[in-house]
Amino acid sequence: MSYSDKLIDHYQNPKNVGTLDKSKTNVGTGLVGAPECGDVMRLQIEVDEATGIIKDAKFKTFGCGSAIASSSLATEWLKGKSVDEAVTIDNMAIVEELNLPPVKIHCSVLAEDAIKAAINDYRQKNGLETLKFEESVIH
Amino acid sequence: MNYFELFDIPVQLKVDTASLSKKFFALSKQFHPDYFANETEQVQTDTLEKAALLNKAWKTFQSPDATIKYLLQEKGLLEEEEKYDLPPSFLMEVMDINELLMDSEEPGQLDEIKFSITNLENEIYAPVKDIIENYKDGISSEKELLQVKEYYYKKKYLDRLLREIK
Repeated sequence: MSYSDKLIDHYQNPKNVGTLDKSKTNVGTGLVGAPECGDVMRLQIEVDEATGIIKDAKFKTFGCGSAIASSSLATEWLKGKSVDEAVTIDNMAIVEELNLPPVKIHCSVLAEDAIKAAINDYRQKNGLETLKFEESVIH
Repeated sequence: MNYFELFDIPVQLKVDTASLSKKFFALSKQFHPDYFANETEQVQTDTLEKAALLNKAWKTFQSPDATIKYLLQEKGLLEEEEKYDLPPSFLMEVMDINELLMDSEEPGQLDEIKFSITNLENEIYAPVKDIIENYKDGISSEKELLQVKEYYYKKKYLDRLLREIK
């Protein structure tokens, strides 16, 4: 099994590793885990309140290379998107971009779940209804 | 035939393999292909399957977590790769320990981290200890088994941390 260059790059030089101040109302935090492997992922977004655009995104993932790469890519994609646009990022786009092998697809699902959790945390903090999502399909 | 039937023991969440090893060796002998060399092909295949099942069962029973997983699967309460949400407070604790571990530099800190993992392990085991050790098939409730399931998944996160330390 060989990994794509993009995946290896995100793994070796992950973008946006770090922490945002989760007490701020314009910061949404998503914390998710994959019980089968014990991986944990925290993904945060910081929203520009005037424009509704995500101006910063950070993550910290303790897991395999594919989980790290998936969350690194997710934060890259989140920056510059509006919160509503961000909801539409789905795991299969991550799979395609990183060319994840089938056994690692669940890592991209984890990243998608983290994005949704962060958005819902942000919405809740700002008095918006939390969104209901359909169960992601794990292949 | 499930693993418990194979060993002719009650369905349980915790198997005392020390007291079962004699039975395992006796059964291994009983299913040994050498004794069936003159039997029909069907009998030989059946015996081989039993021997394989026996080894799988033994391996499972030797791991407390694998035994829990097996029983939960037998009861239809656990599926491979299913989604399972744990309380955010627990994930936060795991995240914190992971961060401490990543930032730790001195060996002394590592001992502290090990200590907090052991503490957390005791903390998650305490509420299910009685259920796991005194499980009675048909009497213990599904609600109790679901508590064990939560413990099983929590334990996975601690296992990962311990693997990281090694």
